[in-house]
This record gives sequence, C-alpha cells and structure tokens, in this order.
Amino acid sequence: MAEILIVEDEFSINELIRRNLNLTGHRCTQAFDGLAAADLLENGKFDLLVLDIMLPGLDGYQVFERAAGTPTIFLTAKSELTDKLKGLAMGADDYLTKPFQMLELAARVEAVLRRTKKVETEFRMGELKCDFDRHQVFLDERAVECTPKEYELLEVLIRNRNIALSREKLLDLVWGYDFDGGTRTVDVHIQRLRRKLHLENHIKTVYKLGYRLEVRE
Amino acid sequence: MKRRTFFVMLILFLVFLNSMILIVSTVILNDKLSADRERCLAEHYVIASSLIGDMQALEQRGNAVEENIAQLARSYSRYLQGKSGGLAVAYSGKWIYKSADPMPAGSPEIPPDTEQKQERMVYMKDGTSPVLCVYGSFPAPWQDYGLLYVGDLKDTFSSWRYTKNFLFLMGAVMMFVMAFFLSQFLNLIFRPLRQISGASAKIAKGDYGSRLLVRGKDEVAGVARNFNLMAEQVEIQIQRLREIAEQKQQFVDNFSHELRIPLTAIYGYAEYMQKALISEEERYECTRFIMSECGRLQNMADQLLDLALLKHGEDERKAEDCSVAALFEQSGRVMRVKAEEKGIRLSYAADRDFSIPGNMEQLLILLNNLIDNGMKASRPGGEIRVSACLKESGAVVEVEDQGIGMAPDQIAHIKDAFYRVDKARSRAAGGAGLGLSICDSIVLLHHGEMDFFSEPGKGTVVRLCFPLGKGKDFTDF
Repeated sequence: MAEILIVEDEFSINELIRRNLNLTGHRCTQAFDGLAAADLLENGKFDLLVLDIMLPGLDGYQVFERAAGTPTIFLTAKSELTDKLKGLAMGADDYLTKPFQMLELAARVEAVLRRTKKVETEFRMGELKCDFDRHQVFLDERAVECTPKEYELLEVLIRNRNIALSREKLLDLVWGYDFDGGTRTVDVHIQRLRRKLHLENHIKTVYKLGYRLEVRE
Repeated sequence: MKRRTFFVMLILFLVFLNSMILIVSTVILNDKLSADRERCLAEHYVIASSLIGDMQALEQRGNAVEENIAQLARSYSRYLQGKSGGLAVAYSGKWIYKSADPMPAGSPEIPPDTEQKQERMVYMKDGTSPVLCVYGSFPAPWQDYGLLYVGDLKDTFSSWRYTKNFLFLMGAVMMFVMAFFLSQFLNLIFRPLRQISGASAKIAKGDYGSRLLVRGKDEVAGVARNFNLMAEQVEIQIQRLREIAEQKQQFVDNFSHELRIPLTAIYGYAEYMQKALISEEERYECTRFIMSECGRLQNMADQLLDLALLKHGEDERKAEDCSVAALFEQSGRVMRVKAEEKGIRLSYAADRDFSIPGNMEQLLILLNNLIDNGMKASRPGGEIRVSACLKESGAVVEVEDQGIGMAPDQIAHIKDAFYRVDKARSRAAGGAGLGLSICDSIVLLHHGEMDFFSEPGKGTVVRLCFPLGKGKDFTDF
C-alpha cells in the first residue's frame, strides 16, 4: 500500500492509471497540470510519482525538479531515446511509454517501490497471512508448508491482485521463460493453493483468460 | 582544355618564330652574297684592267704577251692571297695560269661559254668551301684571253652561320620565356573556370551556400554572375523543399502523438474491463470513456480529410457570390442552439447585405469554426458578436468574444495543426486541434486574410478580410 501522485493532463488516462493502481491496493491522488502537482508535492508526502512530461503549466521535468527525491516514473507518449535519456539522467527511476499495458504499469510501480523499500512486507486477508520477507504462509497464525513454486505463485497473485493473469503470464513470472512444461502445471498448482489455503472463493478462474485473486478492500 | 590551349598556342608561336628566323637569315645571306658579288666583280674589274694595262705595256715593249702573262698573273695572285682570293687566266680555251688558293677542288674547268666575250659571268661553286667565281673575257684585241676571279665565301658563310645559330638559340630561349608567360596567362584566364568548377562541386556535395567572387565585367565574370544567380535559386528552392518536408514531418509527428492518446485510453480501458474485477457502474464508466475516445478519433479523421481536400485543392465546389445575410442565417441556425446550451449570447450584425465571392459551404465551415473557438474560450454568460462590413480593402467579417484571450506567443502558433492554447479544455470539448488549420486553408483558398487581436483575460477578435475583385480565379487556384 503506497501513496501515489498521478500527474497527467489527459483526464481519461489519468483516471485509467488511478483505477489500475487502486486494484493493487495503492492510494492515489490525481493532478491534471504541473502547477497543481507542484502544490500537492509541497503539502503532502508521496511514495511514488507517476509523471507525464507534456503538461500545461509546468512541464514534467520542472515538476520532477520540485519533487525533491520522490521516486518517479515518467510517463509520456514520446518514445524518443533523447526524452528517455533526459528523464533517466535527471534521476527518474523508470520510464513508461504510452500506450502501456496494465501489467507493465503494475510491474514497474512494484519494482520502483521495492527498490525504495516502500513495498508491503506482509499481506493479510481473512485468516490468511503471507510474510514476503521470510517467504512463509500462515493460516490462522499456523505456518502452512508450501513448495517454493507454490509460494512464488501465491506472491505473484497477491502482487497483481484483482488483475486477471493468463496461464502463460503466470508461467513466465513464476517458472521462467525456459520452462518446458505446459500450462497444465499452472492449473495443478492453483488447485493445490486453493485447497491448502482455503482460497476457493478468492482465486477465481476467469473465462478464456486465466486466474485472478480477488480481494475486496 | 587549358593544356590544349597551351600547346596549340606554343606550337603556333614556335612555327611563327622559326619561320621569321628562317626568313631573316635568308635575307641576311642574300644580302651578304650580293655584297660579295659586288666586291668580286669590282676586284675582277680592277685586276682585269691592270692586267690589260700590263699586257699593253708588254706589247709596246715588244715582248711576247703569251710567255709573260703567267708571270704577270702570279704577281696579282700574290696580292690577292691577303684577301683570300684566287686567279686563273685562260687563253683560247685553255688555262694558262692558275693560282694555288683558294681554287675550288677539281677546279674550274675550261671557262664556260667563251662565246659571250663581253659579258662577265658570276657563279658559285660548291666544294669543301663555297666560292664565288667571276669570269670575263678581255676586250679586243685580247679577246682570246679570259680572267677568272675566285672569291672565298668562307667568312661570309661562317659569319652567317653564326648569326643564324644565334638567332635560333635566342628563339629557343624565347620559347621557354613564352611558355612560362603563356602558362601564367592561361592560369589567370582559367582561374574563374576553376573556381566555378570548385563551387559546383561544393554545391553537388550539398553545400548550397557557396558563391563565386565576381570581378570585372568580361564574359567569365558574366558566367560567374549567372552561376551565382543559379546557386541562389537552387539554395532557395532547396530551402523551401526542406521547410515543406519539415512541416510535413512535424505534422506526422504531431499526428502520431495525437493518435496515441485516444489509443492508449481505449486499449487501457478495454484491458481494464477484461482483467479487473469491476462493478456494473465501473463497466458503464469504462465503456463511456472508450466511446468518447472513439468519437475523438472519428472527429480527427473527419477534420484530417477536410484538411487534406482543402490543401490539395481537390475541392471542386464552384465559386459563387455568397450573400452575407444568407451566411449569417445558416450559421445562426446551427450555432445558436450550441450557444444556448452553454449559456452564451450570440449575435450577428451586418451594416447591409453584400456578397463575398467564394464557396458557401466552406465559408460556413470557416465561420462556424471561429464561433466555436470563441465559445470554447468564453465563460457561461459571455457574449460573441459576429459582424460584417464593406471596406476599401474588401469584405470584412469579425468574430469577437469576451473569453480568456491569448498571449502573443500563443497567437504565433495558433494556426499550426494540433496546436491547442488550452490542451485539457480543448480535448474535453472533443477538439482535434485542427480547426484553425482548416480555417487557414479555407481563407487561403479565398485569397483572404485572417488576423487575430487578443489580450489574455479580455477576449479575442478574429478579423477575416476577403478581397472583392479576385472571385473569378477561385476555381483554378
């Protein structure tokens, strides 16, 4: 759970980013021009800044200069190398070009938060508790035995909660690109997780797509 | 070219110089020979006269002339030895005396043609050294005697040869001098050509700014001047092409940027709907976003098409006289509804009805676009005044609003495609940023002018001015 400031002048895109970040449990504040963003940065503390470069009022670089060390992901329609280099040279943590995909946004936000130690160390849902530091899962405060792959699969599902992940994506994220087994492996592991952790009502099968861990917050 | 000119000129010079030397030396030789001839004739005369005197004296003394003539002749030949001459005396067809030197080898045979007794004859004999011979018979009563005088030409020839060699030597020296000056001169003549060739090579490599220094008023300077004119034209044309290409590139860049925003939104919301757990309300909101972004794309496509048609002049709708009253009426029908929705007062005023030469449909698009811009800039309760009047410069139509206005640097960019004074506001209203580009194209097609007068916070006046005389060539623009 992190405090994120989204600065983007396009209302529809700003809203889209907010909705996406809300899914994975972040709290978002929205700003639609550079000056408003600068005001918000002065008065509040944010864990992450998602910042468009072409903004009315102050442009993204100017806002970034006033952000005073807040971790920043630049967001722009321009994909030119020079813009990327300028942003990164100024100390931005990452870069995202429009159009972007949901998982890409989530992954980059996650990566930056992890680097800046703002990532959650445990996750609780009902009687389930997952300790990310020690790689342990508890049910009613009692440790549950999990294979490394089962644990990793659970962590990926938690980190991307409320987002449907395809079987192929899960294979990539948990087993790696060079894994030879088919998508059946994913199904088998999902079944085991559901049974062990009583998650039958939370890990939903999404039609034609894959699996989604649903968490009401 | 230079090399060829150099050799041709040098050869011509050599031929000319050497023939002059040849002619001069021939003339000198002839001159010398004729002087020698005179000298020999004189000598012959003197010796022959003296010999005749001596022979007369011998005869008077009763001595036999025939025996003593050789004796007499010897004394003369001794005198002649100092002058390198020689003597021979003939009597009735036979030589009776010959001096040793400088008789030509194989030596004068029987005096030729003794018949012509009174005549003296001069001839040359070639041998080891050329000699000049003068032969003449004595007058009566000694007509049987003849005297041959041989004059040596060695000195004459050797001095002539010396002169001739000297002249040729000088000729050779002159040739080198000439070659040097000629090459310098040709370098001077060909320098502008070399410069032209250098400059054209530079231009060919893409350095369109290179020019020649024009000096003087001769033909080469004319060529250089024309070359500079040509280079200037090439530079201007290239510059224009570059600007056009840059504009097009700018347009494409902006266009792709403009496309990306709605595409990002559409893709993003679709993916969100597919992957996230969403409520019915959220589903409705997402689809609304997708639909409005699609509407924006549609709008952009329409306006782009309009703009393309206008820019290429493919719009073949005819020019006619458009009544201002009709124009205002048609515009009012559409725009008044919009104005009411936004709570803006819209008024049309013309001092009297007159016609603007042009295309009614395009003028309507133009006017409505401007009114639309005015409404976007106005706050609710604002006022937009459209007025028309006839002036000396032509038909003037003004659209005035009391909205937010623009700063001068914004006005400078306002006609650029995809430029927006206020991005968020314009996009929220569904604008594609092409309205004024279209207006500008229409104004251009009508040979008119469009000016903006604005102050931030106070409002904007757009003044359209159409010349009245130029309606006829509208279609073939």
